[in-house]
Amino acid sequence: MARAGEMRAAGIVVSVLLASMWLLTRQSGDVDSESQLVVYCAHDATYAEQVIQLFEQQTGITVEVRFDEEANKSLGLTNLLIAEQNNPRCDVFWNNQTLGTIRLQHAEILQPYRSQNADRIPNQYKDEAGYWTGFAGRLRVYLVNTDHLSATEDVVNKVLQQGSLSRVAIAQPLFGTTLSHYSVLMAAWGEDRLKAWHAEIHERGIREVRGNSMTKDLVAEGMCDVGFTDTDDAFVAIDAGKPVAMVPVRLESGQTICLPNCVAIIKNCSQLDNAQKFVDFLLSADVEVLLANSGARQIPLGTVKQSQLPPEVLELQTWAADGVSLTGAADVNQQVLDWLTAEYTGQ
Amino acid sequence: MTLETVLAWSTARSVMLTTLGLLIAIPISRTIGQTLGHAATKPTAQKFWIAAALLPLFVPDLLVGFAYRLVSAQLLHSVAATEALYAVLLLTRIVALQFAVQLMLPCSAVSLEALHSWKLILHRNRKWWLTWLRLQVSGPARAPLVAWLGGAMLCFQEFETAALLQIDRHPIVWTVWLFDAHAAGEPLSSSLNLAAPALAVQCVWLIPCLWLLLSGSVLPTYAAVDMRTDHSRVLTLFATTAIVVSLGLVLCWPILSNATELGGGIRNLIGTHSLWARSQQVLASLTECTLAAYLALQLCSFARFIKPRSLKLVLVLPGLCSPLVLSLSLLAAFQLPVLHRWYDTWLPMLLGHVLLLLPRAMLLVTVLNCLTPAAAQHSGDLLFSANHPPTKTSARQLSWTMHKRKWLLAVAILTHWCFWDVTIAATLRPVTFEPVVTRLYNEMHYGHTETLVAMTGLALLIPALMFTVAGLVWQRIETVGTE
Repeated sequence: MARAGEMRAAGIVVSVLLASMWLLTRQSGDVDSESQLVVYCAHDATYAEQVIQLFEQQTGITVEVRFDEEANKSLGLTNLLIAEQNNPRCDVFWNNQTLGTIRLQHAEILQPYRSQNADRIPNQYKDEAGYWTGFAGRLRVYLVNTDHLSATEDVVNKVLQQGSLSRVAIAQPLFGTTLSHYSVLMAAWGEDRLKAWHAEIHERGIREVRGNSMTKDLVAEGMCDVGFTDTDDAFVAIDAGKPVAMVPVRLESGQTICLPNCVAIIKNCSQLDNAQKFVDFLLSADVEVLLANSGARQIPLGTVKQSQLPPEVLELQTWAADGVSLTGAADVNQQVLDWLTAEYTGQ
Repeated sequence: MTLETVLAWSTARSVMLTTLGLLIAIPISRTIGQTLGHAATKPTAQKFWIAAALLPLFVPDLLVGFAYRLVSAQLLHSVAATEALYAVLLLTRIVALQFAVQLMLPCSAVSLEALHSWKLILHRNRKWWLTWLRLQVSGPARAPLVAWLGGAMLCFQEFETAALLQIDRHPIVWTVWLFDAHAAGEPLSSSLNLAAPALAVQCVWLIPCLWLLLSGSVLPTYAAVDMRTDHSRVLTLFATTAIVVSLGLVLCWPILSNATELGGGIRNLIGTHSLWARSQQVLASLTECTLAAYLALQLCSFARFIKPRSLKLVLVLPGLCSPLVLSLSLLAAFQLPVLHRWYDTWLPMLLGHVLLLLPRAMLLVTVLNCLTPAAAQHSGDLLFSANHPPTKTSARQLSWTMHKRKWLLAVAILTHWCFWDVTIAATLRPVTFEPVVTRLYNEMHYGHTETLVAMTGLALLIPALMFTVAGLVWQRIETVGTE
């Protein structure tokens, strides 16, 4: 009797929990599958949600979006797309930088699409064959604590060129935009010089942390004077009223490092028409303006009305105009990753 | 750094910290054990001290790591200081676990008289020593040994705090090292190979732990000790200091340093009309985790009937491989044609969580079975067959107190651990569902501390509220009303 009662109770518990799960997540359950789209988005959810909601309002297409997690950003969506290669559930990949997308292109996971709106994007930020197109970039910058240093290129360069770097922070280069930064440096300098520079900054005591966000925190809280980071992280600190300012990272050629978002359609995706509409939408001037006015202050790469941009983005635009082509960095990206893997994990 | 070096560091850290933890946990257990055995101690005071000593075990690793990430970054150039900070934070959790084990497990399954009688035997040959050792292990040393092994496993499996405190260079934690290796492009098969030695290390701890737990089932006894002696006063002072420091580190400091943000965070959530959306997110995560916890406990209960016993080990192995390897393996499995139709559903995440919880569930079930002796259980069951309604009501009350309340608590504990797991949720969730814990991680990154604090409040409050309500309702159903 007692056992039968327990089994019945167990059945009820499981049924109630399953029903609750269904109820709590059925928002899109009634939507016609042809008006749906699955987007993997590596851009920060806080800023990307607004753009996606606008697309849904304008087209009536429901977007199921999977954001990347900062927790496993480096493992995240690029590796997931590779794992799902034979049975893709994603239609469009909105990456927050380019090199990972180029890796997917080499793995034959993308399909080409030439959007009409891509014409407004400069050639250096898009693939010739149309496998991916860049838009709305961010820059690699030095974040400077203005309580401790003047935020000028001369001062920062002086700090970096000599003496201890114990008050300078950089993210571990195995991941994210610091990996892209290293790839750009290898393309510009060659392998030997990059390795020597990497060894030198560590010998001089640079603080290596696990992400740009931590770099930003260290500078913003005054624990470091200078940090290598991106403009979107820098603006988080600036908006929080911290005593910080940005200086662009420049190569010896004077070029800056601009890392655009980029969009690509997944090969054999189930919603090709909707995917193309979403790509068209993302590459429009309106979206670049929207992202420029978001907290991340992303820099429009195509032509937009300058009057619609906030003043800080206008300044960033002048820096981004000097952006280095990422083709060379893409070519050496795997080489950099192999070297860093051996360096950091002994594998 | 090679895998061997990484494992050596991690194992050494685990052994040292669990030994140190035991030296702190034993006085705490004795002090609180004395209050339990002391008639003059009020039940409220007993509950308070038990809750205070156990609390660090339930403060999520993620939040502790976040609270101390900047302190750790300041210490980056001093390996010893970084390691010391990590060790102190880990110790708070290890001590809490070891206290829990000693609180719940019997003091000794071998009487003092038996040990004394054995010592009186004069012929001390090899057999004598072996039996003496067996008597010690199943007697006075049993609870401390289980606590030591449990502490070592807890320390060895830790990932989130280590990642946030950046224990990723010299010395390093194997879970972070494996994450970095995989992130840098190691294929899944290679990651599985790399995880195998770590699995072996954990089995070395888990197997004796289970054997010790299964080797006795006597109820805990707390001897009444005179608390007015100097020795007891020193013991009490030490235990109180350890509990206060521990709570200060993992609870008070993180709360105090962020409390001012809570009001603003709640206002933000209300202002952006996202309070309900976030609460819904918490409820969805909670429901899935409760189901996973419930299924894990049920599986462990059914595992009692598995013969031979060694097969039970197969159930717990996946959960010991680290959440990263487990989630990547399931991801690969659900890409196979035979399983792919269930890929973008709740199933992979649910399965991942169940497998992750199984080792802990098995330990909990074993402990729970120790706490409720079969004879008492059987006597309670017999009362159900009575035709006398008041007797049946008493039987229900007894069943609630002896059995169901403890199982509800076990579900709550497992749900809590599952709820705060990031890796499996992030890797295996369906597209339509964003677990609250991954959202929290992203809020950390954006520096939205106010929203982060408010969401953390919701993520802690809603599950506590739901389980309290569930407990009260269940208790009412069980203890009120007759046939």
